[in-house]
Amino acid sequence: MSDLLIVVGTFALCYAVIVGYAARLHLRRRRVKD
Amino acid sequence: MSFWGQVVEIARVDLRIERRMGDVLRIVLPFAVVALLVFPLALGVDLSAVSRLGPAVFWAIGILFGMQIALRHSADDRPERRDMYSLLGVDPSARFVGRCMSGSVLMVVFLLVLLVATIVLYSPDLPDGWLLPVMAGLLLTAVGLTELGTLAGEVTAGLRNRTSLASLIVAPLALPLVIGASQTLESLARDAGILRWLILLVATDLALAVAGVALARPLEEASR
Amino acid sequence: MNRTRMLLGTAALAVGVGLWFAFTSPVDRLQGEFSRIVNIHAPFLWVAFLAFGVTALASIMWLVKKTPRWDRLGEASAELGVVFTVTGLFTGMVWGQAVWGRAWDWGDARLATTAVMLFVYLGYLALRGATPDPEMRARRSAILGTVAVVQVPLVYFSVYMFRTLHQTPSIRPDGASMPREMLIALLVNFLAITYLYVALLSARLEVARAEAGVAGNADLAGDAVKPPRLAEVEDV
Repeated sequence: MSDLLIVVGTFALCYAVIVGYAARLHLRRRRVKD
Repeated sequence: MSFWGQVVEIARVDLRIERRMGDVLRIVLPFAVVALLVFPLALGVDLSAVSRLGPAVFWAIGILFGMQIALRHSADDRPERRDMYSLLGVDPSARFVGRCMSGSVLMVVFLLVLLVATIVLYSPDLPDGWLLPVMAGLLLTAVGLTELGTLAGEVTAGLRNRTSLASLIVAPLALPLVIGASQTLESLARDAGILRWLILLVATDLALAVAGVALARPLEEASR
Repeated sequence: MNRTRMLLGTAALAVGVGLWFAFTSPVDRLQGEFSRIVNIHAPFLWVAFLAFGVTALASIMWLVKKTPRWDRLGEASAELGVVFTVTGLFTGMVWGQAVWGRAWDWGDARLATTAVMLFVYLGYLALRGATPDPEMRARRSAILGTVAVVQVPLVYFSVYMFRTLHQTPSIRPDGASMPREMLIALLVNFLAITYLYVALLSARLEVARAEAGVAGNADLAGDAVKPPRLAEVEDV
């Protein structure tokens, strides 16, 4: 069970980084538009 | 003046400037020797391990500290000097090759002194017939590291944090040199073939030379 | 809805599908749940190499054509390359530590080359950050990108030769002997994550173009004031 938790956590962390990067891009885009 | 005439002249001027105001032999070399002292003390290893570490530490420090030679201040051309070179019609590739030549000379001297210091401090077990292969490896590594450092130096010319940035650029790309150089000696100790490692070093040197000459003109425009 | 948003939206869907496959596929007998990690580890590292290749290509193209779009592509791909390389390496470390008790595998030439690639990326981005003038920045990064393309294969060969000599076989399997369902899951994730890279690249390029446009408009303050044209002046 704990193994699965680590695996899910790893996936979640990696995709969180991707989402975070995309969010930063979005903010930069908004800032340029103004 | 012919291409090679320009190359030699540029190398001579470089070395003359370095002799007058340079920091390679006065600062970089002593710093590297200090690093040789730091290693065994920091690792706290026993004497037999120290002598086994000797060659590895030599190459690691030689390359990490040696790259500072290619990035030496006397090689960071001011805009005035660059303008002078282009006004004189100096071929940008000749400038690159000449710079590499002077840098290699300094690098070989640096590595030789470091080698003596390593042998004295670490008493490594050197296999029979070590001199020629190690000298060949040393020469090839010096040339490759100088080429890499010169390229990195040109691409970071005039920048505030030039030395650290250029070092960051050189270090990962210098891996083939580290491996080729250190494995030459280790293969010799094991009676395995050293030719492949020397070929690796030659290939690296050639690739960097071709890149440097091909990129010489954009490099010159990039470092104004 | 603009193109970038559409790409991102469908990429998110694709990744979702990939996740479903990753968590419903059978697991390896020996590795247990940890074998699922290969579904992000391998694709992320593949994208890291792809992004590096794109940056390298963009660098060479900039030196040939000298148009800003190649510079923007190189920068965008390098940024994404860092993101995918760091996460790819991280997943590899989790996997290695969990399954073989060692986070780093010196026997794997690809792993060492990936680490080198990461630092090349970081150097590339650091160089860009340190160069204020846009033209100079484009030229210098293009040169660095071209030198990197020459050196990185040599890095791979040297580590490969090193590993062969020291007879440290890679402790990580090459994945050639996977059961069919696992292979399908892996393939789906490869496609989804590559698509994700393309979508993010499009988004990043859009930002770069917008920022360049704004910077371009800031050339001369006096341009903001234009003399009135005679036809526009009506009540004379």
